[in-house]
Amino acid sequence: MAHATPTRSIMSKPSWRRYMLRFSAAMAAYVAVLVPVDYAARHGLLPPAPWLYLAALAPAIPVALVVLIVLRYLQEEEDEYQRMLAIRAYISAAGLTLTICTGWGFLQDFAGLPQISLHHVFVLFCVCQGVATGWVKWRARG
Amino acid sequence: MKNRLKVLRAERDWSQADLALRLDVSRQSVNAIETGKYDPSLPLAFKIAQVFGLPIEAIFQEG
Repeated sequence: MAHATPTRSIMSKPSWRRYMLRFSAAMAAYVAVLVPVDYAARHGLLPPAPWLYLAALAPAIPVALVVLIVLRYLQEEEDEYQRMLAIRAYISAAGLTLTICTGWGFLQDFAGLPQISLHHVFVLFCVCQGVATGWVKWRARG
Repeated sequence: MKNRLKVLRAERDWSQADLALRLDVSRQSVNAIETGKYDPSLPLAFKIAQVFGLPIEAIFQEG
């Protein structure tokens, strides 16, 4: 019976599974590096310069990895329509992050809102990416 | 671009999932092409033509 064919979800695709695995590993590395660096900074345990700069930049390495992992996924995704949806979601997330950060910057300068550390931008982008993916998939539903 | 995917699929009694499986794409991709939300690339259009055993111009028309 033709209509009994199971729908192949994107989540069952090897390229998506590889992406999720790599992304999870990079996020785990981010936490694994950030927690000790943050602890050392709070307790005055960070080494002097130049090692100080290396230690402070260490949590940014997994962030750079996430960008590379996303690019790799876009190369490996065999389904061109899904690839287009993913690109649309990433661009939307980048635009949303940019808009929020710029808006917050103006609120800081003109309305006296508190200053927020720039390293929160990555977390904000991840949240925006989740929202944008949901929005793009919802619009493409059918 | 218009296409006859839905008609050709119905003639063969294939669901969107059946066609998606033959094309190695997601069902959403077939739906997006069928409803005109997405125009496939040339390689995918050739693959669709191959699956139906028809020339591309018999499936896709300008408009």
